[in-house]
Amino acid sequence: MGTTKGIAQEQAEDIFFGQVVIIWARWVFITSVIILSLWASDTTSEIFIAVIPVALLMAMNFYLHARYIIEKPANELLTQIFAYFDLLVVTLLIVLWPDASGAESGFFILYYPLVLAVAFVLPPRVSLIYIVSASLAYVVGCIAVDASFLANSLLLEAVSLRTITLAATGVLGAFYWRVQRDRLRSIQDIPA
Amino acid sequence: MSTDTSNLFSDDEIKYGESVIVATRWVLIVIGLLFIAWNPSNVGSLRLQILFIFALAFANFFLQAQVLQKKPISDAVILASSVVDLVVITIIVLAQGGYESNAYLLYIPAILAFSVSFPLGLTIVVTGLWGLFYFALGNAYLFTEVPSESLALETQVLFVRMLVFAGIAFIGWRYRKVEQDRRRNARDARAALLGYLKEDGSEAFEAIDAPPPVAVAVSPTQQLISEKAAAKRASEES
Repeated sequence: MGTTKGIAQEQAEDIFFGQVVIIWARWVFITSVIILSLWASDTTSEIFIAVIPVALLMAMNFYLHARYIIEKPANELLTQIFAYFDLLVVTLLIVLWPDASGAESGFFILYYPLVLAVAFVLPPRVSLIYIVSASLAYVVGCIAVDASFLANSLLLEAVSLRTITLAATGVLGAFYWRVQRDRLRSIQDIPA
Repeated sequence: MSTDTSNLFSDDEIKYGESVIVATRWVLIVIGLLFIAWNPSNVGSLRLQILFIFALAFANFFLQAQVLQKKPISDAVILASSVVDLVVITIIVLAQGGYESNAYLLYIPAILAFSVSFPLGLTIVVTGLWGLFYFALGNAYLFTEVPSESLALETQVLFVRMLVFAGIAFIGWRYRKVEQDRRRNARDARAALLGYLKEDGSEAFEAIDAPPPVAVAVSPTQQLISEKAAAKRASEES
């Protein structure tokens, strides 16, 4: 006995209310990129080149945050598109950073808040694809820079463990999503 | 008057966070063993690290059993076990080369579990204290081991790590807050709806509150069969 909401409505509400978590994760990421870009640039032209993609990210996130504030948040498709764009930017950062790139880059850690936020908000069937995409993007990015790390046991260990912990963080986020979903459903079930 | 000391916190999130904490600890145990196995240090240090991991596994199995049996676990025990996680990870990090070790990534799931289970103030204090320690460790590495030409890059990496760790704690707390607000709104809506049904005299609401009926209605066919059976018994007795 009980009328529960449809799955589609639940997912729509998850996106509606939970989107702010993804937005804040993106602000953490943007803050890191701003400071890195300004810090690593030695000339004015380098600063301007670095600022352009950062400005684009900021504009995108301002738009999403404003829509959330006026209670017209983005739908699931737009949320996913921007989330995958974040992955692309982090991967480009790892591949193109001049001083240390690929497996030697320390900026892979920027994947973690993005993956975690998506795992919290989107259902597991969607977030697990995102988690796998992030892991693959990192590995492919490392291979694209210099595939010789596959023969270097220390670097291979580092890349493998980073990928495993990234996936584990995302899976834990999805598990917590399930815990919260069950709690909400237990409250929302009402008599017919 | 009962003196229940099992609840340190008024926030009941910790009760629902128990399963997340236990799951996170299993992840830390498995990945911790991988770290140790893949890059073993000297024998003495290796024995110590494995001993700590196994002790953690036994303790976690006990907590897992409590969760499966739906038995309450004292808040103090959950808090102590989460702090022990951070201590064990720190031991692994120090044994695996300190700041240079990749074992610091194990802090991320531990911070996540903390931020979704414990009150915000406690999360800030514990992760802040640990953050200061790791920042000090990073600075010691930067100024003693790193050549001057790489100092800028390594400082950037340390900065990004600290920002991401703070970000993970913030994201965990923020999501928890979103869900708390949704549950509160759902409870309010449910209470309002039930109140409306009660005032409306809805049959559905009455059926929930009404005591179960004494007699169960039977179909005419069943009633006919019962009557014939009763008549037959009466004739046999006579």
